[in-house]
Amino acid sequence: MKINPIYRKEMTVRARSSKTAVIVTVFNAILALVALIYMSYILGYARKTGEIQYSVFLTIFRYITWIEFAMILLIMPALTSGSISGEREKKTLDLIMTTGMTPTDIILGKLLTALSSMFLFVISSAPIIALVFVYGGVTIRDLLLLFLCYFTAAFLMGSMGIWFSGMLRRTTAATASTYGLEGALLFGTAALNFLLRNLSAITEVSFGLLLFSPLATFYDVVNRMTGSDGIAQVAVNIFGLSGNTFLTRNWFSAGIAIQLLLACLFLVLSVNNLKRSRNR
Amino acid sequence: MIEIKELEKSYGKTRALTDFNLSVEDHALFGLMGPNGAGKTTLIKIVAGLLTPDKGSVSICGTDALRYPRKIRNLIGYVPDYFGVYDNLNVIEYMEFFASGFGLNGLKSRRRCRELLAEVGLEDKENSYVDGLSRGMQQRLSLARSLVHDPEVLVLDEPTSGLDPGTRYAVREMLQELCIQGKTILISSHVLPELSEICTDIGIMDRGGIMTTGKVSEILNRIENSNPLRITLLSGTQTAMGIFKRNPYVRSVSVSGKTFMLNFDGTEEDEAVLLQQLIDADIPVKGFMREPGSLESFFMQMTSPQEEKVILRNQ
Repeated sequence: MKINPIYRKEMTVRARSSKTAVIVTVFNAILALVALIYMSYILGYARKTGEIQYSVFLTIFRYITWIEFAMILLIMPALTSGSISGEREKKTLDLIMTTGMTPTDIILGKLLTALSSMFLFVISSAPIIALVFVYGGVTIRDLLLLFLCYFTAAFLMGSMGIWFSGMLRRTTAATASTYGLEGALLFGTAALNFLLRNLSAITEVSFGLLLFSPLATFYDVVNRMTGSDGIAQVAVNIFGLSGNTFLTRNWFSAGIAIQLLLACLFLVLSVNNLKRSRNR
Repeated sequence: MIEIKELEKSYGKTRALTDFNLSVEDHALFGLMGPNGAGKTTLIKIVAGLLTPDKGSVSICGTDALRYPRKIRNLIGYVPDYFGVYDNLNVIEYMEFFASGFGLNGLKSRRRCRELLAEVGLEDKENSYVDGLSRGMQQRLSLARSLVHDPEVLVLDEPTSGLDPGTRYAVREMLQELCIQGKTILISSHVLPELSEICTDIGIMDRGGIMTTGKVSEILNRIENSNPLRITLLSGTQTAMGIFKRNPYVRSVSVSGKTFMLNFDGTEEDEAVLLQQLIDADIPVKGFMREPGSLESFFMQMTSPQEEKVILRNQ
Protein backbone atom coordinates (compact mmCIF):
# COMPACT_ATOMS: atom_id res chain seq x y z
CA MET A 1 0.00 0.00 0.00
CA LYS A 2 1.30 3.44 -0.92
CA ILE A 3 1.47 5.65 2.16
CA ASN A 4 1.52 9.43 1.83
CA PRO A 5 5.26 10.34 2.15
CA ILE A 6 4.54 13.39 4.29
CA TYR A 7 2.38 11.31 6.64
CA ARG A 8 5.03 8.62 6.99
CA LYS A 9 7.81 11.14 7.61
CA GLU A 10 5.76 13.15 10.13
CA MET A 11 4.73 10.05 12.05
CA THR A 12 8.39 8.94 12.27
CA VAL A 13 9.46 12.37 13.50
CA ARG A 14 6.59 12.63 16.00
CA ALA A 15 7.16 9.12 17.33
CA ARG A 16 10.71 10.14 18.25
CA SER A 17 9.69 13.39 19.86
CA SER A 18 8.81 13.45 23.54
CA LYS A 19 6.05 15.96 22.76
CA THR A 20 3.48 13.32 21.79
CA ALA A 21 4.14 11.27 24.93
CA VAL A 22 3.84 14.38 27.10
CA ILE A 23 0.53 15.42 25.48
CA VAL A 24 -0.96 11.91 25.81
CA THR A 25 0.08 11.79 29.47
CA VAL A 26 -1.30 15.24 30.33
CA PHE A 27 -4.46 14.64 28.27
CA ASN A 28 -5.26 11.40 30.07
CA ALA A 29 -4.06 12.61 33.45
CA ILE A 30 -6.58 15.47 33.36
CA LEU A 31 -9.43 13.15 32.35
CA ALA A 32 -8.43 10.50 34.92
CA LEU A 33 -8.15 13.09 37.66
CA VAL A 34 -11.68 14.37 37.05
CA ALA A 35 -13.02 10.80 36.90
CA LEU A 36 -11.19 9.80 40.08
CA ILE A 37 -12.38 12.81 42.05
CA TYR A 38 -15.97 12.13 41.02
CA MET A 39 -15.69 8.40 41.71
CA SER A 40 -14.28 9.04 45.17
CA TYR A 41 -17.16 11.50 45.82
CA ILE A 42 -19.74 8.88 44.71
CA LEU A 43 -18.15 6.13 46.78
CA GLY A 44 -17.85 8.42 49.82
CA TYR A 45 -21.54 9.29 49.50
CA ALA A 46 -22.40 5.58 49.09
CA ARG A 47 -20.42 4.71 52.22
CA LYS A 48 -22.41 7.26 54.23
CA THR A 49 -25.89 6.65 52.85
CA GLY A 50 -25.67 3.14 51.37
CA GLU A 51 -27.14 4.32 48.08
CA ILE A 52 -25.62 5.03 44.66
CA GLN A 53 -27.12 7.68 42.38
CA TYR A 54 -26.82 6.41 38.83
CA SER A 55 -27.35 9.88 37.40
CA VAL A 56 -24.00 10.89 38.92
CA PHE A 57 -22.23 8.52 36.53
CA LEU A 58 -23.83 10.31 33.64
CA THR A 59 -22.56 13.57 35.11
CA ILE A 60 -19.04 12.09 35.19
CA PHE A 61 -19.48 11.09 31.57
CA ARG A 62 -20.68 14.59 30.68
CA TYR A 63 -17.75 16.27 32.45
CA ILE A 64 -15.16 13.93 30.96
CA THR A 65 -16.47 14.30 27.43
CA TRP A 66 -16.67 18.09 27.76
CA ILE A 67 -13.10 18.27 29.01
CA GLU A 68 -11.95 15.93 26.25
CA PHE A 69 -13.77 18.00 23.64
CA ALA A 70 -12.25 21.21 24.99
CA MET A 71 -8.78 19.66 24.82
CA ILE A 72 -9.35 18.57 21.21
CA LEU A 73 -10.35 22.15 20.35
CA LEU A 74 -7.24 23.45 22.09
CA ILE A 75 -4.75 20.92 20.78
CA MET A 76 -5.81 20.61 17.14
CA PRO A 77 -4.88 24.18 16.08
CA ALA A 78 -1.53 23.79 17.84
CA LEU A 79 -0.89 20.57 15.91
CA THR A 80 -1.70 22.04 12.51
CA SER A 81 -0.96 25.76 12.52
CA GLY A 82 2.77 25.12 12.06
CA SER A 83 2.37 22.48 9.39
CA ILE A 84 3.15 24.59 6.31
CA SER A 85 4.71 27.67 7.93
CA GLY A 86 7.00 25.32 9.88
CA GLU A 87 8.22 23.77 6.62
CA ARG A 88 8.77 27.29 5.30
CA GLU A 89 10.70 28.27 8.45
CA LYS A 90 12.83 25.12 8.21
CA LYS A 91 13.34 25.89 4.49
CA THR A 92 12.08 22.47 3.48
CA LEU A 93 8.90 23.56 1.68
CA ASP A 94 10.72 24.34 -1.58
CA LEU A 95 12.43 20.97 -1.45
CA ILE A 96 9.10 19.16 -1.04
CA MET A 97 7.55 21.26 -3.79
CA THR A 98 10.21 20.10 -6.26
CA THR A 99 9.36 16.42 -5.68
CA GLY A 100 6.56 14.54 -7.40
CA MET A 101 4.22 15.31 -4.50
CA THR A 102 1.28 17.56 -5.36
CA PRO A 103 0.01 20.33 -3.05
CA THR A 104 -2.97 18.02 -2.31
CA ASP A 105 -0.59 15.25 -1.17
CA ILE A 106 1.23 17.72 1.08
CA ILE A 107 -1.94 19.14 2.66
CA LEU A 108 -3.58 15.73 3.14
CA GLY A 109 -0.37 14.34 4.62
CA LYS A 110 -0.28 17.14 7.15
CA LEU A 111 -3.96 16.77 8.05
CA LEU A 112 -3.73 12.99 8.38
CA THR A 113 -0.79 13.36 10.74
CA ALA A 114 -2.71 15.73 13.02
CA LEU A 115 -5.85 13.55 12.91
CA SER A 116 -3.78 10.47 13.74
CA SER A 117 -2.35 12.19 16.79
CA MET A 118 -5.86 13.22 17.81
CA PHE A 119 -7.06 9.65 17.25
CA LEU A 120 -4.29 8.42 19.55
CA PHE A 121 -5.38 10.87 22.28
CA VAL A 122 -9.06 9.89 22.01
CA ILE A 123 -8.42 6.13 21.84
CA SER A 124 -6.00 6.27 24.76
CA SER A 125 -8.73 7.92 26.83
CA ALA A 126 -11.29 5.21 25.99
CA PRO A 127 -10.73 3.27 29.28
CA ILE A 128 -11.60 6.42 31.27
CA ILE A 129 -14.73 7.09 29.20
CA ALA A 130 -15.63 3.39 29.56
CA LEU A 131 -16.12 3.97 33.32
CA VAL A 132 -19.66 4.93 32.43
CA PHE A 133 -20.33 1.40 31.17
CA VAL A 134 -19.81 0.01 34.69
CA TYR A 135 -23.23 1.32 35.69
CA GLY A 136 -24.82 1.77 32.26
CA GLY A 137 -26.69 4.75 30.83
CA VAL A 138 -24.71 5.33 27.63
CA THR A 139 -24.89 3.04 24.60
CA ILE A 140 -22.27 2.16 22.00
CA ARG A 141 -24.29 4.18 19.47
CA ASP A 142 -24.00 7.22 21.73
CA LEU A 143 -20.25 6.76 21.93
CA LEU A 144 -19.99 6.49 18.15
CA LEU A 145 -21.94 9.74 17.77
CA LEU A 146 -19.64 11.32 20.31
CA PHE A 147 -16.55 10.19 18.39
CA LEU A 148 -18.07 11.51 15.15
CA CYS A 149 -18.48 14.84 16.90
CA TYR A 150 -14.84 14.74 18.06
CA PHE A 151 -13.66 13.82 14.57
CA THR A 152 -15.66 16.61 12.91
CA ALA A 153 -14.38 19.23 15.35
CA ALA A 154 -10.79 17.99 14.95
CA PHE A 155 -11.14 17.92 11.15
CA LEU A 156 -12.54 21.46 11.06
CA MET A 157 -9.96 22.93 13.43
CA GLY A 158 -7.17 21.03 11.69
CA SER A 159 -8.18 22.30 8.25
CA MET A 160 -8.41 25.84 9.59
CA GLY A 161 -4.94 25.53 11.13
CA ILE A 162 -3.44 24.26 7.88
CA TRP A 163 -5.11 27.04 5.91
CA PHE A 164 -3.69 29.76 8.15
CA SER A 165 -0.35 28.00 8.20
CA GLY A 166 -0.16 28.18 4.42
CA MET A 167 -1.39 31.77 4.26
CA LEU A 168 0.85 33.29 6.91
CA ARG A 169 4.61 33.08 6.90
CA ARG A 170 5.07 32.78 10.66
CA THR A 171 3.82 29.91 12.79
CA THR A 172 3.02 32.19 15.72
CA ALA A 173 0.79 34.36 13.51
CA ALA A 174 -0.89 31.25 12.06
CA THR A 175 -1.53 29.83 15.54
CA ALA A 176 -2.99 33.09 16.84
CA SER A 177 -5.22 33.45 13.76
CA THR A 178 -6.45 29.86 14.02
CA TYR A 179 -7.41 30.34 17.66
CA GLY A 180 -9.04 33.65 16.73
CA LEU A 181 -11.25 32.09 14.05
CA GLU A 182 -11.95 29.14 16.31
CA GLY A 183 -13.12 31.54 19.01
CA ALA A 184 -15.33 33.33 16.50
CA LEU A 185 -16.94 30.05 15.40
CA LEU A 186 -17.39 28.65 18.90
CA PHE A 187 -18.34 31.72 20.88
CA GLY A 188 -18.91 34.45 18.29
CA THR A 189 -21.94 32.71 16.80
CA ALA A 190 -23.45 32.27 20.28
CA ALA A 191 -22.60 35.84 21.30
CA LEU A 192 -24.24 37.17 18.13
CA ASN A 193 -27.46 35.31 18.96
CA PHE A 194 -27.48 36.65 22.51
CA LEU A 195 -26.96 40.15 21.16
CA LEU A 196 -29.77 39.75 18.62
CA ARG A 197 -32.05 38.35 21.34
CA ASN A 198 -31.38 41.41 23.46
CA LEU A 199 -32.16 43.60 20.45
CA SER A 200 -35.28 41.48 19.80
CA ALA A 201 -33.94 40.78 16.31
CA ILE A 202 -33.18 37.09 16.62
CA THR A 203 -34.40 34.90 13.75
CA GLU A 204 -34.23 31.23 12.77
CA VAL A 205 -31.48 32.20 10.30
CA SER A 206 -29.25 33.80 12.92
CA PHE A 207 -29.89 30.83 15.20
CA GLY A 208 -28.87 28.60 12.29
CA LEU A 209 -25.39 30.21 12.42
CA LEU A 210 -24.81 28.05 15.48
CA LEU A 211 -24.61 25.10 13.11
CA PHE A 212 -21.10 26.32 12.25
CA SER A 213 -20.09 25.92 15.88
CA PRO A 214 -18.85 22.45 16.89
CA LEU A 215 -19.68 23.52 20.45
CA ALA A 216 -23.43 23.71 19.68
CA THR A 217 -23.36 20.29 17.99
CA PHE A 218 -21.48 18.78 20.90
CA TYR A 219 -23.80 20.41 23.43
CA ASP A 220 -26.82 18.94 21.63
CA VAL A 221 -25.48 15.40 21.36
CA VAL A 222 -24.03 15.11 24.87
CA ASN A 223 -27.03 16.67 26.58
CA ARG A 224 -29.45 14.43 24.75
CA MET A 225 -27.26 11.42 25.59
CA THR A 226 -27.33 12.25 29.30
CA GLY A 227 -31.02 13.12 29.39
CA SER A 228 -30.59 16.91 29.61
CA ASP A 229 -31.94 19.69 27.40
CA GLY A 230 -30.85 19.53 23.77
CA ILE A 231 -30.51 22.45 21.38
CA ALA A 232 -34.31 22.52 20.76
CA GLN A 233 -34.86 23.46 24.39
CA VAL A 234 -32.16 26.13 24.12
CA ALA A 235 -34.02 27.61 21.13
CA VAL A 236 -37.23 27.74 23.12
CA ASN A 237 -36.03 28.58 26.64
CA ILE A 238 -33.16 30.95 25.95
CA PHE A 239 -33.90 32.50 22.58
CA GLY A 240 -37.69 32.28 22.51
CA LEU A 241 -37.74 30.50 19.14
CA SER A 242 -39.68 27.44 18.02
CA GLY A 243 -38.19 24.14 19.19
CA ASN A 244 -39.81 22.14 16.46
CA THR A 245 -38.28 23.28 13.22
CA PHE A 246 -36.42 21.25 10.60
CA LEU A 247 -33.14 22.57 11.95
CA THR A 248 -33.73 21.76 15.60
CA ARG A 249 -35.07 18.31 14.73
CA ASN A 250 -31.99 17.51 12.60
CA TRP A 251 -29.45 19.65 14.46
CA PHE A 252 -26.77 16.99 14.90
CA SER A 253 -26.69 15.74 11.28
CA ALA A 254 -27.03 19.27 9.83
CA GLY A 255 -24.28 20.59 12.12
CA ILE A 256 -21.92 17.74 11.29
CA ALA A 257 -22.59 18.11 7.53
CA ILE A 258 -21.99 21.89 7.56
CA GLN A 259 -18.82 21.59 9.61
CA LEU A 260 -17.44 18.83 7.40
CA LEU A 261 -18.20 20.95 4.32
CA LEU A 262 -16.52 23.95 5.92
CA ALA A 263 -13.47 21.81 6.73
CA CYS A 264 -13.33 20.59 3.10
CA LEU A 265 -13.54 24.20 1.93
CA PHE A 266 -10.53 25.13 4.09
CA LEU A 267 -8.63 22.18 2.65
CA VAL A 268 -9.39 23.23 -0.93
CA LEU A 269 -8.29 26.79 -0.08
CA SER A 270 -5.08 25.43 1.47
CA VAL A 271 -4.27 23.40 -1.65
CA ASN A 272 -4.94 26.43 -3.88
CA ASN A 273 -2.84 28.60 -1.63
CA LEU A 274 0.10 26.23 -1.94
CA LYS A 275 -0.34 26.12 -5.72
CA ARG A 276 -0.45 29.91 -5.89
CA SER A 277 2.74 30.22 -3.82
CA ARG A 278 4.60 29.72 -7.14
CA ASN A 279 3.22 33.01 -8.40
CA ARG A 280 4.63 35.06 -5.51
CA MET B 1 18.69 21.08 -22.94
CA ILE B 2 17.39 24.15 -21.17
CA GLU B 3 15.86 26.83 -23.38
CA ILE B 4 14.73 30.07 -21.76
CA LYS B 5 13.03 32.72 -23.88
CA GLU B 6 11.95 36.30 -23.09
CA LEU B 7 11.57 35.57 -19.40
CA GLU B 8 10.24 38.34 -17.18
CA LYS B 9 9.55 38.35 -13.47
CA SER B 10 8.73 41.20 -11.11
CA TYR B 11 8.21 41.36 -7.36
CA GLY B 12 5.86 44.29 -7.02
CA LYS B 13 7.65 47.18 -8.69
CA THR B 14 11.04 45.49 -8.62
CA ARG B 15 11.96 43.76 -11.87
CA ALA B 16 13.98 40.64 -11.12
CA LEU B 17 14.26 39.38 -14.72
CA THR B 18 13.88 41.41 -17.90
CA ASP B 19 13.68 39.86 -21.36
CA PHE B 20 15.95 37.03 -20.26
CA ASN B 21 17.14 34.55 -22.88
CA LEU B 22 19.43 31.60 -22.28
CA SER B 23 20.22 28.32 -23.93
CA VAL B 24 22.06 25.52 -22.14
CA GLU B 25 23.26 22.62 -24.28
CA ASP B 26 22.80 18.96 -23.33
CA HIS B 27 25.50 17.61 -20.96
CA ALA B 28 26.86 21.13 -20.38
CA LEU B 29 28.03 22.37 -17.00
CA PHE B 30 26.75 25.91 -17.28
CA GLY B 31 27.90 28.47 -14.71
CA LEU B 32 25.77 31.51 -14.07
CA MET B 33 27.61 34.47 -12.57
CA GLY B 34 26.22 37.73 -11.35
CA PRO B 35 26.33 40.15 -8.44
CA ASN B 36 23.81 40.02 -5.61
CA GLY B 37 20.37 41.00 -6.86
CA ALA B 38 21.18 40.11 -10.47
CA GLY B 39 18.25 37.68 -10.55
CA LYS B 40 20.15 34.38 -10.35
CA THR B 41 18.05 32.82 -7.61
CA THR B 42 14.82 33.96 -9.28
CA LEU B 43 15.95 32.33 -12.51
CA ILE B 44 16.99 29.11 -10.75
CA LYS B 45 13.64 28.98 -8.91
CA ILE B 46 11.71 29.44 -12.15
CA VAL B 47 13.68 26.66 -13.82
CA ALA B 48 13.09 24.42 -10.78
CA GLY B 49 9.34 25.10 -11.00
CA LEU B 50 9.15 26.99 -7.72
CA LEU B 51 8.19 30.31 -9.27
CA THR B 52 5.99 31.22 -12.20
CA PRO B 53 7.33 33.96 -14.47
CA ASP B 54 5.16 36.90 -15.53
CA LYS B 55 6.08 36.30 -19.16
CA GLY B 56 8.23 34.08 -21.32
CA SER B 57 8.88 30.38 -21.69
CA VAL B 58 11.12 27.72 -20.18
CA SER B 59 11.67 24.45 -21.95
CA ILE B 60 13.56 21.56 -20.40
CA CYS B 61 14.48 18.56 -22.54
CA GLY B 62 11.85 19.74 -25.00
CA THR B 63 9.06 19.93 -22.40
CA ASP B 64 7.32 23.20 -21.62
CA ALA B 65 8.18 23.68 -17.95
CA LEU B 66 5.39 26.16 -17.28
CA ARG B 67 2.65 24.04 -18.85
CA TYR B 68 3.76 20.65 -17.47
CA PRO B 69 5.34 21.38 -14.07
CA ARG B 70 4.78 17.84 -12.73
CA LYS B 71 6.55 16.29 -15.68
CA ILE B 72 9.40 18.74 -15.26
CA ARG B 73 9.87 17.83 -11.58
CA ASN B 74 10.91 14.33 -12.65
CA LEU B 75 13.50 15.81 -15.01
CA ILE B 76 15.06 18.25 -12.55
CA GLY B 77 17.11 17.92 -9.39
CA TYR B 78 17.23 21.11 -7.33
CA VAL B 79 19.87 22.14 -4.80
CA PRO B 80 19.11 25.47 -3.09
CA ASP B 81 21.63 27.73 -1.38
CA TYR B 82 20.47 26.47 2.02
CA PHE B 83 19.90 23.10 3.63
CA GLY B 84 16.40 22.27 4.90
CA VAL B 85 16.75 20.31 8.11
CA TYR B 86 14.24 18.01 9.78
CA ASP B 87 14.72 17.24 13.45
CA ASN B 88 14.62 13.61 14.51
CA LEU B 89 15.20 12.25 11.01
CA ASN B 90 18.33 10.32 10.12
CA VAL B 91 20.22 10.49 6.84
CA ILE B 92 18.74 7.37 5.22
CA GLU B 93 15.20 8.34 6.31
CA TYR B 94 15.74 11.83 4.90
CA MET B 95 16.80 10.35 1.57
CA GLU B 96 13.96 7.83 1.56
CA PHE B 97 11.43 10.56 2.30
CA PHE B 98 12.43 12.46 -0.83
CA ALA B 99 12.65 9.21 -2.81
CA SER B 100 9.06 8.39 -1.82
CA GLY B 101 8.12 11.87 -3.04
CA PHE B 102 9.08 10.61 -6.49
CA GLY B 103 7.24 7.32 -6.04
CA LEU B 104 10.33 5.29 -5.08
CA ASN B 105 9.55 3.01 -2.14
CA GLY B 106 10.73 -0.11 -0.37
CA LEU B 107 13.90 -1.96 -1.24
CA LYS B 108 14.36 -0.15 -4.54
CA SER B 109 14.39 3.15 -2.70
CA ARG B 110 16.76 1.90 0.01
CA ARG B 111 19.19 0.58 -2.62
CA ARG B 112 19.13 3.84 -4.61
CA CYS B 113 19.62 5.97 -1.48
CA ARG B 114 22.54 3.86 -0.27
CA GLU B 115 24.11 4.06 -3.72
CA LEU B 116 23.89 7.85 -3.72
CA LEU B 117 25.15 8.17 -0.14
CA ALA B 118 28.18 6.13 -1.15
CA GLU B 119 28.72 8.39 -4.16
CA VAL B 120 28.82 11.50 -1.98
CA GLY B 121 30.88 9.76 0.72
CA LEU B 122 28.20 9.63 3.40
CA GLU B 123 27.69 5.86 3.53
CA ASP B 124 28.93 5.73 7.13
CA LYS B 125 26.51 8.49 8.20
CA GLU B 126 23.34 6.59 7.27
CA ASN B 127 22.05 6.50 10.84
CA SER B 128 23.21 9.97 11.90
CA TYR B 129 20.59 12.67 12.37
CA VAL B 130 20.61 15.24 9.56
CA ASP B 131 20.57 18.21 11.94
CA GLY B 132 23.81 16.94 13.47
CA LEU B 133 25.76 16.86 10.21
CA SER B 134 28.40 19.46 9.39
CA ARG B 135 27.66 22.11 6.72
CA GLY B 136 29.80 20.26 4.19
CA MET B 137 28.10 16.94 4.87
CA GLN B 138 24.68 18.58 4.65
CA GLN B 139 25.58 19.99 1.25
CA ARG B 140 26.78 16.60 0.04
CA LEU B 141 23.53 15.09 1.34
CA SER B 142 21.61 17.83 -0.46
CA LEU B 143 23.35 16.86 -3.70
CA ALA B 144 22.54 13.18 -3.13
CA ARG B 145 18.91 14.10 -2.41
CA SER B 146 18.63 16.03 -5.65
CA LEU B 147 19.79 12.92 -7.56
CA VAL B 148 17.42 10.47 -5.92
CA HIS B 149 15.11 10.26 -8.94
CA ASP B 150 18.00 10.26 -11.43
CA PRO B 151 17.11 13.60 -13.09
CA GLU B 152 18.50 14.63 -16.45
CA VAL B 153 19.06 18.23 -15.35
CA LEU B 154 20.57 19.51 -12.10
CA VAL B 155 19.92 23.07 -10.98
CA LEU B 156 22.16 24.34 -8.20
CA ASP B 157 22.00 27.70 -6.47
CA GLU B 158 25.33 28.67 -4.86
CA PRO B 159 26.12 25.05 -3.96
CA THR B 160 29.52 25.77 -2.47
CA SER B 161 28.76 28.89 -0.45
CA GLY B 162 29.91 28.58 3.14
CA LEU B 163 31.90 25.41 2.52
CA ASP B 164 35.52 24.84 3.47
CA PRO B 165 38.03 24.49 0.59
CA GLY B 166 38.21 20.69 0.94
CA THR B 167 34.44 20.20 0.70
CA ARG B 168 34.24 22.79 -2.06
CA TYR B 169 36.76 20.79 -4.03
CA ALA B 170 34.83 17.56 -3.38
CA VAL B 171 31.54 19.13 -4.57
CA ARG B 172 33.27 20.43 -7.72
CA GLU B 173 34.66 16.97 -8.43
CA MET B 174 31.19 15.48 -8.00
CA LEU B 175 29.64 18.00 -10.37
CA GLN B 176 32.26 17.31 -13.02
CA GLU B 177 31.67 13.59 -12.61
CA LEU B 178 27.92 14.06 -12.99
CA CYS B 179 28.51 16.09 -16.14
CA ILE B 180 30.65 13.29 -17.55
CA GLN B 181 27.83 10.85 -16.69
CA GLY B 182 25.59 12.88 -19.00
CA LYS B 183 23.72 15.27 -16.72
CA THR B 184 23.07 18.83 -17.80
CA ILE B 185 24.00 21.14 -14.93
CA LEU B 186 23.03 24.77 -14.36
CA ILE B 187 24.92 26.27 -11.44
CA SER B 188 24.94 29.77 -10.02
CA SER B 189 27.91 30.91 -8.01
CA HIS B 190 29.80 33.90 -6.73
CA VAL B 191 33.06 31.99 -6.59
CA LEU B 192 34.32 32.87 -10.05
CA PRO B 193 37.60 30.91 -10.28
CA GLU B 194 35.57 27.87 -9.34
CA LEU B 195 33.22 28.35 -12.29
CA SER B 196 36.02 28.92 -14.77
CA GLU B 197 37.70 25.72 -13.58
CA ILE B 198 34.75 23.35 -13.77
CA CYS B 199 32.22 24.83 -16.18
CA THR B 200 32.06 24.16 -19.89
CA ASP B 201 29.99 27.31 -20.47
CA ILE B 202 29.34 30.48 -18.52
CA GLY B 203 26.83 33.29 -18.56
CA ILE B 204 27.08 36.66 -16.85
CA MET B 205 23.92 38.16 -15.40
CA ASP B 206 23.29 41.69 -14.23
CA ARG B 207 20.12 43.63 -13.38
CA GLY B 208 17.85 40.79 -14.47
CA GLY B 209 19.37 40.32 -17.90
CA ILE B 210 22.10 38.22 -19.44
CA MET B 211 25.17 40.21 -20.42
CA THR B 212 27.12 37.51 -22.19
CA THR B 213 27.27 33.76 -22.59
CA GLY B 214 29.65 31.33 -24.24
CA LYS B 215 32.21 28.58 -23.82
CA VAL B 216 34.66 29.33 -21.02
CA SER B 217 37.64 29.11 -23.43
CA GLU B 218 35.98 31.58 -25.83
CA ILE B 219 35.18 34.03 -23.08
CA LEU B 220 38.70 33.84 -21.66
CA ASN B 221 39.99 34.49 -25.18
CA ARG B 222 37.72 37.51 -25.53
CA ILE B 223 38.89 38.75 -22.14
CA GLU B 224 42.50 38.58 -23.31
CA ASN B 225 41.66 40.67 -26.38
CA SER B 226 39.96 43.37 -24.33
CA ASN B 227 42.90 43.83 -21.94
CA PRO B 228 45.47 46.61 -22.48
CA LEU B 229 48.67 46.06 -24.43
CA ARG B 230 51.78 46.49 -22.30
CA ILE B 231 54.77 47.70 -24.37
CA THR B 232 58.17 48.29 -22.81
CA LEU B 233 60.85 50.10 -24.85
CA LEU B 234 64.53 50.64 -24.22
CA SER B 235 64.50 54.04 -26.02
CA GLY B 236 62.63 56.03 -28.73
CA THR B 237 59.60 56.85 -26.65
CA GLN B 238 58.79 60.02 -28.64
CA THR B 239 58.87 58.19 -32.00
CA ALA B 240 56.80 55.38 -30.52
CA MET B 241 54.21 57.87 -29.26
CA GLY B 242 53.85 59.17 -32.83
CA ILE B 243 53.27 55.65 -34.12
CA PHE B 244 50.66 54.97 -31.42
CA LYS B 245 48.82 58.22 -32.25
CA ARG B 246 48.62 57.29 -35.94
CA ASN B 247 47.42 53.72 -35.29
CA PRO B 248 43.59 53.54 -35.75
CA TYR B 249 43.16 50.80 -33.11
CA VAL B 250 44.80 52.65 -30.24
CA ARG B 251 42.10 54.25 -28.08
CA SER B 252 44.25 55.65 -25.30
CA VAL B 253 47.83 55.52 -24.06
CA SER B 254 49.25 55.83 -20.60
CA VAL B 255 52.97 56.07 -19.97
CA SER B 256 55.02 55.12 -16.97
CA GLY B 257 58.74 55.62 -17.69
CA LYS B 258 59.50 53.50 -20.72
CA THR B 259 56.38 51.35 -20.33
CA PHE B 260 53.24 52.12 -22.33
CA MET B 261 49.75 50.79 -21.59
CA LEU B 262 47.59 50.91 -24.71
CA ASN B 263 43.84 50.43 -24.93
CA PHE B 264 44.04 48.57 -28.20
CA ASP B 265 40.95 47.12 -29.85
CA GLY B 266 42.56 45.51 -32.85
CA THR B 267 43.04 41.83 -33.58
CA GLU B 268 46.18 39.74 -33.08
CA GLU B 269 47.16 40.62 -36.68
CA ASP B 270 46.81 44.34 -35.90
CA GLU B 271 49.02 43.82 -32.85
CA ALA B 272 51.64 42.23 -35.13
CA VAL B 273 51.46 45.20 -37.51
CA LEU B 274 51.99 47.61 -34.62
CA LEU B 275 55.01 45.65 -33.42
CA GLN B 276 56.39 45.64 -36.96
CA GLN B 277 55.97 49.45 -37.18
CA LEU B 278 57.98 49.88 -33.96
CA ILE B 279 60.75 47.59 -35.22
CA ASP B 280 60.80 49.33 -38.63
CA ALA B 281 61.28 52.66 -36.79
CA ASP B 282 64.36 51.15 -35.09
CA ILE B 283 62.82 51.30 -31.67
CA PRO B 284 64.27 48.63 -29.38
CA VAL B 285 61.22 46.77 -27.98
CA LYS B 286 61.89 44.98 -24.72
CA GLY B 287 58.35 43.75 -24.06
CA PHE B 288 55.15 43.49 -26.06
CA MET B 289 52.17 41.62 -24.59
CA ARG B 290 48.53 41.73 -23.65
CA GLU B 291 47.90 42.10 -19.93
CA PRO B 292 46.73 38.73 -18.65
CA GLY B 293 42.98 38.73 -17.95
CA SER B 294 40.84 36.74 -15.56
CA LEU B 295 37.19 35.86 -15.35
CA GLU B 296 37.04 37.95 -12.19
CA SER B 297 38.31 41.13 -13.90
CA PHE B 298 35.96 40.50 -16.81
CA PHE B 299 33.06 39.99 -14.41
CA MET B 300 33.90 43.26 -12.66
CA GLN B 301 34.10 45.04 -16.02
CA MET B 302 30.73 43.67 -17.08
CA THR B 303 28.85 44.35 -13.87
CA SER B 304 30.49 47.49 -12.45
CA PRO B 305 28.20 50.51 -12.69
CA GLN B 306 30.62 52.61 -14.77
CA GLU B 307 29.47 54.32 -17.90
CA GLU B 308 32.49 53.34 -19.99
CA LYS B 309 32.38 49.62 -19.59
CA VAL B 310 33.45 47.13 -22.20
CA ILE B 311 30.51 45.38 -23.74
CA LEU B 312 31.25 42.29 -25.73
CA ARG B 313 28.83 41.05 -28.28
CA ASN B 314 27.54 37.48 -27.79
CA GLN B 315 29.00 35.12 -30.29
